[in-house]
Amino acid sequence: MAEALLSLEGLVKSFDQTRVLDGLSLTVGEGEFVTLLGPSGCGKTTTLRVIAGLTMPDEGRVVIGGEDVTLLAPEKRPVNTVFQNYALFPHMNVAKNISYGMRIRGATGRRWKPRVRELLKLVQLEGYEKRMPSELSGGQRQRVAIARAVILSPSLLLLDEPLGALDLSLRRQMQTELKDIQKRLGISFVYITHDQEEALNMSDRIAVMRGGRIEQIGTPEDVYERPETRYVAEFIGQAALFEGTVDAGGASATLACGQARLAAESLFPGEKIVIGVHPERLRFSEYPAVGFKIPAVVLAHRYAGSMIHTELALSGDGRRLTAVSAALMSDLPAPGAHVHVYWDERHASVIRETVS
Amino acid sequence: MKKRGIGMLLPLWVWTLLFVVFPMGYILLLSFVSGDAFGIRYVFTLDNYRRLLSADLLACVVRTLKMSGLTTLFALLAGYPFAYFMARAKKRWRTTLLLLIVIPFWTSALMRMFGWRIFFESNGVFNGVLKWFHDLWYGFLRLFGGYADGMPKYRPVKLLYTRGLVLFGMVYTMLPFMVLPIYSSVEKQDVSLREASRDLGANPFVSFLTVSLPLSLPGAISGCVLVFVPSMGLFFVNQILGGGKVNYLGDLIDYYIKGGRDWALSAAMSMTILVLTFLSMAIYRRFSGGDEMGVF
Repeated sequence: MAEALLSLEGLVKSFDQTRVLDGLSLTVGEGEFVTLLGPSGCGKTTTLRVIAGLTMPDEGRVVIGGEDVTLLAPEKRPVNTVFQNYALFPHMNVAKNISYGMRIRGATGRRWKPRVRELLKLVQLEGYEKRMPSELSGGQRQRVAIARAVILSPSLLLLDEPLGALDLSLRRQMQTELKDIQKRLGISFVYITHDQEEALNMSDRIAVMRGGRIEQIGTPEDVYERPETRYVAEFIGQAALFEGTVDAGGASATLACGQARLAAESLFPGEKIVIGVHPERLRFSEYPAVGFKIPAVVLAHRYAGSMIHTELALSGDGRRLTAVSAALMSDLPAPGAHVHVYWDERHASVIRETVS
Repeated sequence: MKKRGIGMLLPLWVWTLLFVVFPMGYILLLSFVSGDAFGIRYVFTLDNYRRLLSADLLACVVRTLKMSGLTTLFALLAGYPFAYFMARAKKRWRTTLLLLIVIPFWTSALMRMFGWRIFFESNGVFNGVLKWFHDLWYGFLRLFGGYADGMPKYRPVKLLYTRGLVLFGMVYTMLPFMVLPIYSSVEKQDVSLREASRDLGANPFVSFLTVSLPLSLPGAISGCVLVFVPSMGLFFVNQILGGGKVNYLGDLIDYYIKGGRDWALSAAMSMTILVLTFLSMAIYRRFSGGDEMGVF
């Protein structure tokens, strides 16, 4: 990781007795794209507002570029924000909106006009200078908001669910564009979303948040493949969780619904673990796989084009889970069939049950 | 439009005809016929308007415009900050403040004017308090300052029947009409707009000047129209607090109808106010860019 540009140290914030941030710490490197991912109410937006200076933390420090800015007003911080609802000034046209940051610093038209043209090119809105925000579509407003936020060349850009209001296809397109803009400007992004696919697509690192803290932070592959807690495993990729105990020898585990093979890991026999397997990695067949003993019954198939979602009921403990496969419907065991569930043990994540 | 639509609009037409077109038409007609204390003769004449152009009456029109203009200005100066901070206040405070603005509406405006009159009278509350300080001061001097002469007589400040007090009364009466539209235009502004401007480097004052103020202008302009237009015809304030020393158009209309019995001249003056109203509304439309916000 590059040199730390932003570091948050032990942030605490309460609103009316409710702790929204509970000792949150985070570092963001130069040029890094960090996503705060979590359900609504987990403190993502508050974290962003604390970085921007729009909310004062009760405890903790905000350090940007080596300088403690915790008590600095928002206008004095070298960060800019793309707001969730874009917050474009309705009484100014596109050019005036984008150039706002320069104009209030006394820049003349000779200086800001070329810069606006440059930024409109960056966000692919050339020729839109004279349009009013009310005449723009959601995607176009989004682009203007981004251009406005980067005109002062901040070292850090904060984005609060910037794609939340766009439809799916536009969102996909904007994801690529945003990532592209970030690379070209070479600035750090702190990005908020509750959409895990978006987070996995765009980020250098993902911070999975829960209850005002960061539950796990790592590369997209880290948090997807190697979740450290049950919460992360369930939240990212909706992994199916199997609680169990490591058998003697450490090569397998006894589960409530049977037995599963383990990859070579330093696990102690008798240790309590949770195995997390993503739906697309769950397999089932009429024949048992070596080392696995998880009988189940096929309940139904749901056809979804590229994928088929299969509902299974585990015979051992009656739990239901969904497996996703890319097979042909005709190749899959029919509903009612007795099958065996298994997976490639290298595809499963093992979470040690240390706490609670 | 479909035929049924016209049928549905019929009551509206009848209503407009009865309560707007006929009365206004009648006043318009009256303003173009000759009449005096003995009654109306339906003979076309421009005499009433010619009389309006006489030096006295023209001066009255100018005086009325000046008073209405000043009322609007002071109502704006007093009302804008109040409305702005009210809209920005915490929800609990907002309700209380809004109530404070509305409560006076529940009592008669005439009553409130008499209240001010009693308050500002030579031996009213205002002068009473001043007299108390006056006495206190000389008592103090006598005790500690070696002042030996008799107590000088308190000379009350004469505020009643001054133009300043009339202006005060006008501003007081019209203030809610200024505050409410400004309040609603500030209150509906998105907080994130101010945050965005702060985020882009504006300090609170620059943020106000570049974002909050321009966005509240439509409210301020409709407030100005709502104050300016009725101010031109408001006569009771001047009669109660000004003692009728100086006349405004409203007073003259009142006088020529009740006292002078010159309905034709009154009608011509009413039409003058109407034209001035339309004029100020045209200016308003010009500045507010038409529809959308405000009242018209």
